[in-house]
Amino acid sequence: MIRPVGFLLRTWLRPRLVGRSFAYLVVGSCLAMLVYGVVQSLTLTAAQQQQRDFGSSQSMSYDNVALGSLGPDDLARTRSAVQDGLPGSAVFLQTTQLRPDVLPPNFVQAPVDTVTFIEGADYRQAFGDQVGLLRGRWAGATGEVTVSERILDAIGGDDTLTIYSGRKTLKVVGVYQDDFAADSYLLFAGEGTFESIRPASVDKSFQPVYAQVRVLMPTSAASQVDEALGILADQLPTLPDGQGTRPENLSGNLAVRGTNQDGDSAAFGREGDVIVSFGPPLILLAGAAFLAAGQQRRRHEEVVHLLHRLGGRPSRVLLSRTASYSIVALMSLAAGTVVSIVVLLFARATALPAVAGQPLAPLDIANRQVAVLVAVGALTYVVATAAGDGGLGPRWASAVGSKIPRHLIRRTAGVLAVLSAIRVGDRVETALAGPGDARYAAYAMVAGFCLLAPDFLRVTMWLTSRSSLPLEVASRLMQANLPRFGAAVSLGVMTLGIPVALLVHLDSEQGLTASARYGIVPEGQMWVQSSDTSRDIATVAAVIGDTPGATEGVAFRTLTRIDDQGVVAEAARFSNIPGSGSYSTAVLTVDSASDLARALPSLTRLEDAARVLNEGGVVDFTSHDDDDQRLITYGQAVPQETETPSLPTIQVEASPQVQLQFAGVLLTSTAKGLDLPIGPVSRVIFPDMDAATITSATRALQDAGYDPEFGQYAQTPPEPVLPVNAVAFLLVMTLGSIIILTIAISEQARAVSTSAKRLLALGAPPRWLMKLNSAQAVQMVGVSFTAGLTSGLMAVIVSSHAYPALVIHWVPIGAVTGTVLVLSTAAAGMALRFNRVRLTEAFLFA
Amino acid sequence: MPPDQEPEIKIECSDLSKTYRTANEHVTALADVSLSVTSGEFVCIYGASGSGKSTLLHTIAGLSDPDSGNVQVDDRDVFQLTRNERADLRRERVGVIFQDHNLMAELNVLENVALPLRVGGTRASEAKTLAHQALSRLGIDNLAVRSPSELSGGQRQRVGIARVLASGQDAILADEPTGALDSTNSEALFILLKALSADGACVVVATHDPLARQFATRTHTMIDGRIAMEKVAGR
Repeated sequence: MIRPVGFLLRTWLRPRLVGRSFAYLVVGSCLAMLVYGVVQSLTLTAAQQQQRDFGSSQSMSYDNVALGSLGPDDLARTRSAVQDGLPGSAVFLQTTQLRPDVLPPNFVQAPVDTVTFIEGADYRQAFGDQVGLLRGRWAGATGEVTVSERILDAIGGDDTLTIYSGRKTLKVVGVYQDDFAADSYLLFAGEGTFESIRPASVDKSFQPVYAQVRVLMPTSAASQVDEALGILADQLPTLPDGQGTRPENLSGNLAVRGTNQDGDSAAFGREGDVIVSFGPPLILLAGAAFLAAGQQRRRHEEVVHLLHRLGGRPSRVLLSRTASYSIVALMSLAAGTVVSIVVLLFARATALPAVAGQPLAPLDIANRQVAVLVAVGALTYVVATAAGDGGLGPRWASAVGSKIPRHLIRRTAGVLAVLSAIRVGDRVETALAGPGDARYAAYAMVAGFCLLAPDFLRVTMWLTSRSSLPLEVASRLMQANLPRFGAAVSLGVMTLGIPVALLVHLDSEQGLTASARYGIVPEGQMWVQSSDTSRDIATVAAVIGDTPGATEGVAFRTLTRIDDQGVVAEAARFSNIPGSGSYSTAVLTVDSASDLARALPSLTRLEDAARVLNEGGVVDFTSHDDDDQRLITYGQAVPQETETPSLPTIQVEASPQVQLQFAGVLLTSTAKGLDLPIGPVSRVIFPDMDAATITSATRALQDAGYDPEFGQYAQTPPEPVLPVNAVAFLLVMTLGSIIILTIAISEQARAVSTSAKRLLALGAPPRWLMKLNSAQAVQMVGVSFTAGLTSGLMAVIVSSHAYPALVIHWVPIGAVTGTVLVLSTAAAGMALRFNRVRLTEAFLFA
Repeated sequence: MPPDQEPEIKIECSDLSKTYRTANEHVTALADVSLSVTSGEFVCIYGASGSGKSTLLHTIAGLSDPDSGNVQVDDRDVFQLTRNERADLRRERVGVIFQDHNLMAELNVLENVALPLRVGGTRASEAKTLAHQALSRLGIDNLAVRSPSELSGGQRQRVGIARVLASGQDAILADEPTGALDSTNSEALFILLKALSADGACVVVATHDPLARQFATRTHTMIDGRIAMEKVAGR
């Protein structure tokens, strides 16, 4: 048994039978791994992220402290105590809250692009060589700062920097270059600067303004850490009620840091990363695997037929063939991986060091996701090769049975992918589930188009075949080779579809972040609100309302309860929101329907909304078309739910920024009638405020001792900037896809050249054959291009509702589209060269 | 033969030589071969495998360039023609019946037979009619819609012959036309080719089948690329 199988295995592994497939798989796996490796090189490791977030010092203990709770000399006293107990230690303060005035307010929801304010004589000890002085000197005295180049750009190169809405003007004495966190706003301040700023007290802060008091110790001995924690616990202000004790807080922070340090460093394709994903390289590798399978499938069927007729036992032939597939797959994928590592190492030694963040070695190739990538590539190749063309050999020769209608499976999968993309991209689902699902919808749409691409080609051939004989013959030849031509066209679709979809998603995702950060208040309005319902919103609103030119505010109340921890929390949600309210935003009350119209004039169907409100109903912003809403309320201090009767409901479309913050509205009087737990005023909206009035109102808040971020207004988001790893991802993906496409088109042309030789022998002139080949190339490139662009646009459309607005930068999309068109046409041109049949004896006797 | 085509054709080969060179050896396929054939003749090129018969036919058809010598069809030097003109020549004047049939697997029998006509600009309906007629003449009209892969070797050979019949070239070069046929069918084929030559076609058959010599007006026996013997029927 072993000997004949071994002989058969050697037969299957002859270069003529597997050589081209091997090459395809090597190229495909190499490209997929390069996508991974290059992106990974440009992505921060968990340790680097940790370093970026916490500084370079490994022997660090720290605690969060509300800035407003720090009294005079608290910091100096803490430093003195720590240094007395732990000689050689450094203590400094780090906060993201003390921003220069030139930068946008921090009331935005996501803490991105925040200013890191570091004060303390020993700050440079913590950051070591990561910061280098460019000019001037390091800040030393109170009121002095050394800023990054980015901050210097923001303040227009000025030598002063105004902090926190005019509260304090600091003197810029130096500029440093921050190689490590080049995109952050980081400034170093001299000793005592923080105390001179005096941020708003805790009760007048928009939200707790935290800083980190950090201790850098000479060693990381556990005993020292404990001692540092003990000193900090003694010296720092006590925590507010309900927030635990200082020692508990310190221990918790230390544990968080430890967890972060131990975190998984595989950033590529991690959950929540919308742009960089394993999906596209997976499709790339699968495409290469399909092409590899296509190279040998027919020939293998012929050999199977031959061996069978010569008396080969089916089990042995099948076993040896399957073994050969596995060997080819594993060897080629391993070779591709090794080649990619070599290329990466070369790149790291030459081009990448300037931008690469990850350490050179070891490259993080051996992780679970990469293993899955390789396994899928190998499996695709083995199954696709074993599937057989059908009809050439006995049925048993096909691993999946030659009677399975593969075209039907492909089409069904394609249609399901498209339908699921549309379903996942549905407005309600995606709006609730977030852009992560939008990404999957986009990929599903592109994958669906890839699967259906052979049919697009078939329809195109059918439509064009009757116009001329070359087209007719070209179509017939392509139909006979449809699996291979179809695979090439599918790759073409992928080549264009994925970059287009990714680019739009990348931009829109950043647009979403910008919207969440800067667009939570509509233009021309000023909102007063706080995430902490204990804040005295009404008093803050009164300060703004007294500002000359300010309009009358519209007050909203939240239905609130006090939970068993004594914390004020949301008390009601709509009954038909899925997920038991986990997605629910607040249901608010307003005093009158006209108030609602004033505050939110962009709502649709305002007149109907007013009628429903006055009838005791609710206005629903959640876009759930369902029966009338009931309100589910929570009991006070106990997890008990009760439901109101069904209330008249009107669905009203609201802007994304409103949807983010309101689930719906009912009249306060209605809430009272239902005996709902009405809380204090939680939000006041001042409509029709001009820019000058907004500025005056902000100053008024400042003068009254409040954190000016209580008064929120529309901000212009910055232009999205493509992250370097995303750019690399797009470039390598596009390049890789084009390489595969080029090979695919050339390969198909080579296959067709056999037919061309026959035609030539029958008297078809070469010029006629050129027409035939041109027709094929035009059809392939045309279908690839059209379907690819359509798939990208469809992917954008189905996922568009995940974003408040699609951000589309046409220049890079145009560049990618043009590049793909030019290169695929060039590939087709190369293919034509293969078809220039020469009358040689090699042709006759090959 | 369609009446609008030229009734006469004359093929003259002069001093044709051809050597195949591989890394290890040089094989002489043709050595100073001269041959002249005209309309109405049935010429048999007889010889063992590897004697140069197929090379001679492919050279006459302009499919293979000789190292030296020339081929003239109606006083036109084939190797002075462009590749397009050579293709026109094969399509219109010199039809080839290939040893491997040269059928397009992607087309059915009828389409294969009609293909050269369509390439030459004949209307589809007319080409189809002519193809049907050719298939009927060979008794295989019932195979018209079948794929070549569904045919036996003999049936494929007859489709290849039907393709030449339908195209109506003045000269027919047949490369081992009976290689896949039994003796009965082989005889029937030679009778058909004989009839074609009697109708004025110029027929050249390269074969190792001795039966061909009984129908040929002239037989040239090839050994190692040379015409070693010439025998004229009835002499």
